[in-house]
Amino acid sequence: MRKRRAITLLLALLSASTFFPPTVGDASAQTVIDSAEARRAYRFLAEATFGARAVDVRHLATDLKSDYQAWINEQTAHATRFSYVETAKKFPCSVAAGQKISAAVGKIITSICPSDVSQVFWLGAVLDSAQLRQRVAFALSQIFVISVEDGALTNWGNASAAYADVLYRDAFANFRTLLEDVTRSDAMGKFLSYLYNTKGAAATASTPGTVPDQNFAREVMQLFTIGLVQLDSSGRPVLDTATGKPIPTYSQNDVVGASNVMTGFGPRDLPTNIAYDFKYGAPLYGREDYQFSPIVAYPQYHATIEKRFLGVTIPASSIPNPDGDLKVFLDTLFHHSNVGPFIGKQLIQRLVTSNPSPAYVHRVAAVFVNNGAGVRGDLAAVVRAVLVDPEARSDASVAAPTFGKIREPILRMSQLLRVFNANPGADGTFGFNPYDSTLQLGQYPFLAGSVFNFYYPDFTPPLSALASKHLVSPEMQITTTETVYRLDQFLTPIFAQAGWYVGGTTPGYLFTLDYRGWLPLVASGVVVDDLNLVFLSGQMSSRLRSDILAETAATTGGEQAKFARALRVLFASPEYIVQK
Amino acid sequence: MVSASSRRRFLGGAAAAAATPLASYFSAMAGASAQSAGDYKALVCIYLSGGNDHINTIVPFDAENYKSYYAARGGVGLAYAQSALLPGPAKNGYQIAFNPNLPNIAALSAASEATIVANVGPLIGRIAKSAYAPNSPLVPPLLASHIDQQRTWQSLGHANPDGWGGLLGDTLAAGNGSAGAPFTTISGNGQTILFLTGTRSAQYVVSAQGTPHAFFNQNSHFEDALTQAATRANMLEQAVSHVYEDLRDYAVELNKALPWVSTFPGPPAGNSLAAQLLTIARIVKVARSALGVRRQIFYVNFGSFDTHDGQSIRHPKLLAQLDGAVAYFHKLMTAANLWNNVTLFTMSEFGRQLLPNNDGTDHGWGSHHFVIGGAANGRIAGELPMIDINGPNFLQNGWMIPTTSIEQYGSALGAWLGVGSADLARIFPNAIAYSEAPLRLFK
Repeated sequence: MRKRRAITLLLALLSASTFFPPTVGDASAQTVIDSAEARRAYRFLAEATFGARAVDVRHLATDLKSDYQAWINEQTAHATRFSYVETAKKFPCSVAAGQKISAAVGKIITSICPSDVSQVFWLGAVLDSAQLRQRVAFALSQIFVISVEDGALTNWGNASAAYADVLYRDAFANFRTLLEDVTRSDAMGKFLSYLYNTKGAAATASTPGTVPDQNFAREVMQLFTIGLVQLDSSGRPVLDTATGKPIPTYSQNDVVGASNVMTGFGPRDLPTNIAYDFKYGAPLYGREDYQFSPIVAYPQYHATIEKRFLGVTIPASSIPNPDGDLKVFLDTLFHHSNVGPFIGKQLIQRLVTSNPSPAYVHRVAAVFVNNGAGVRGDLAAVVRAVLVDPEARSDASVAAPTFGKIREPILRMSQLLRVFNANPGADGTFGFNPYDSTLQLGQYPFLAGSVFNFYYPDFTPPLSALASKHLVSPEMQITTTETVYRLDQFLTPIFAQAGWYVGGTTPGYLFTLDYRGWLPLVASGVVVDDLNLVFLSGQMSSRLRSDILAETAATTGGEQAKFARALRVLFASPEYIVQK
Repeated sequence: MVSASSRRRFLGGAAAAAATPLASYFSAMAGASAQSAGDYKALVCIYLSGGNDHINTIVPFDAENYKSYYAARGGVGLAYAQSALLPGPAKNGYQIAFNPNLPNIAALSAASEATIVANVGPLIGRIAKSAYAPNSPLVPPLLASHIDQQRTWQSLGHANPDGWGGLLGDTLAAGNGSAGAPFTTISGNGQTILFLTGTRSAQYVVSAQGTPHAFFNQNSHFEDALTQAATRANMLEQAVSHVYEDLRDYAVELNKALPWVSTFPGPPAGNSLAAQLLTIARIVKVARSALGVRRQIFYVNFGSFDTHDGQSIRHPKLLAQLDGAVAYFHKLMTAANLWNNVTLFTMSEFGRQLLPNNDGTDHGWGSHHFVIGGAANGRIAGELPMIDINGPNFLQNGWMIPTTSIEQYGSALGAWLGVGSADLARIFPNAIAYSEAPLRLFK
């Protein structure tokens, strides 16, 4: 089925004007026999993939005999064939849609539209068999955030696609490598404005001088590595014994010191007019390919003054050394004791549960410090630790009142597409163009509002039981009366039509949903049990079950209408929205 | 909102409001009006996400300060020519001008309907430049950090659970009656906002696209599947369920109050702030007559104003959007005869540094803001700074040291709504720590 789907995708991309019917689903094997083992498998795969289909569960439960470690090993060893850059290059990008032409000399700056990067995400999440890598890359994209919604990346679609590939490629690499590759990406350089950052200009008689841009220096500490306050190995703030308050990890002085490190970096193969580019912080004219390569150093723009940050001093020198200084800075961050708990906890929150116990964080952070072979920062080992931890795997967690995480809209949508064997439409995409105002998903890949992601990591719903216990649910920030309403209105016709059908001058399906294995089960009501297993890992309450059955019974029309109703109720239900 | 059900709203009772010196501070405020029967007032917070560059928004214009401004920013092309600026009011010999992309706000200022709040920011107490040290207890913590300063502006601290808009809303809800109380605080950007989080009243959420509808029938199985929060053991499920319960309990009422077709003209294209303000305006128009609401606090936002680079291209566009949205809202409120009843005010997590980097500006501390509406007094509130990196108002790193506190700003807005002095003292306990008289923003 995989090979067939890959061919279908390739053909769809090659002949964009032809509509290809969806791959024949393995209808007879749409479901798996319900059992405790099957439920556990679905539950595990809900954390480790974008949605399990019967074939995935059978592979885990039968072929691998429910050996989750073996499944993780397979996934981490899986060859990485998916590429944002190569995929996005195939999509035509018109001037209207975002391809930019420099006004100065008329040369095209980028052939990949920033919005295409968001569209390509779905192809990977839904169709790539390297599911764990895709899921981890998505988690990393919510920590190492770039957003193509921000004006900073308008002309940097190529770089944005290359950045998405960095996260995908480094998902199981060493954290130090990831940190380096993120820092050296043009997209991050542009997004956090250290691309073309120049050393400060001293004050003169008539001007007070300038200082280097401080954006990255601050955010790399606050968001990417150590956070705002000192943490213990369980991720809890350490309190100052005198004041009882948390202890900041860095001060404004550290930001200033580090900002001098982040000077004199620019894209590779700059056009000859380097002086112009560094003066104005933007290329005079562009060459497509430079955005695909890591940034390089331009020593003449690098600060040579003394740089102090986090207890480290890089002495003043006569010879600028941008690469050397950057290495010192990133090494210092990498070795800070906060990184293990800071990153480890967020990976737990993205995959498993919003409120891990301190002990869970401690176990995961310990693996960051030492993967068992003396290596610090082994992301594959950390991901493994997150997923096989007893707190994640234990059946008892399912019933724990504070366990679980809200499935953000992207996760709900991708599960829908995977379970029902959706394929891209005629244009090779699933149609999630973030600038399409009819799209009401409420969350679009690589389009967070800012570098702070779609939601703050410590958001708590006001006046809630969670708030009273000082617990968090970040995804609740975007779960409001507005967003639940808009999402339901968007999904309802999709359920009814078994796909996203659009009218207009070229009517057709942006994607279809294959219900064939499900519809025969509607009349008997068994379909609700299968929905339970596949979407809720068998956790559906009897109350929800009877509500869905009653709603489908009351729905007039044929089986598809009834099934659509069942899906609508299911997808809106709090039981589904909370991944446990 | 006040709810008769067993739901979660009542986490804390009202704190006993003691009579303190603060009480007399607030009651001395001229123009503070009690909640009186029949009238309606609303505040609309326009939050500029990312930290607005205040110096290029409300620009120094008198000869000496303009010269210093130009010296600081002209070298990288981030200073406006004086001839391009729109002259504005003066105070104590300092004059300001408006960014050329703010013609409507400049006109409102000329008509005395746009008050400028000068050099406002988080303060623990008035602090002189000589007393500043990065980790001093006199200095608010975590300055220049986006997330912490957003929280500080919205909730007077970087780790407070409740926003001052929500706390004001707590005191106002009872006056809105049982039908109107749920609509005391309303978020207009589709998200739950700290600023509007209170201890008793929860914010209702709408968006630029309009108001939500309950998409399940009352007493249906569909409703049952989505609600029943109290029966759910999982706390995250409870939280999700509460959202549906809010939809069930309040959406119908609000939508019934709104006309099927709005008589307002549509917003300027591509202006998300204006689109949010349209939804707000539609609610404002019917709030008093159809819902019995007397006092409301709204929140809308847009951005990003975090112009570390490309500022000369990005900032003008953002200000033009702000100006266009304000003009649009002015038009709508005038048509509804409510321009004197609704006041817009801006906030942002910080201003930006006086000294630029090579093509933008970095995070700062103090900032300038607007209070706009028929009730505004159109003056300059607070103290304009001397534009001098070596002077008393700026630190060497280019941060402007605030001379007016957020608490003075917020409490003056609350007083206009008619919140009593005892409540203001409780919500803004630090407002008295400053030597100058209460901030006067309104006629």
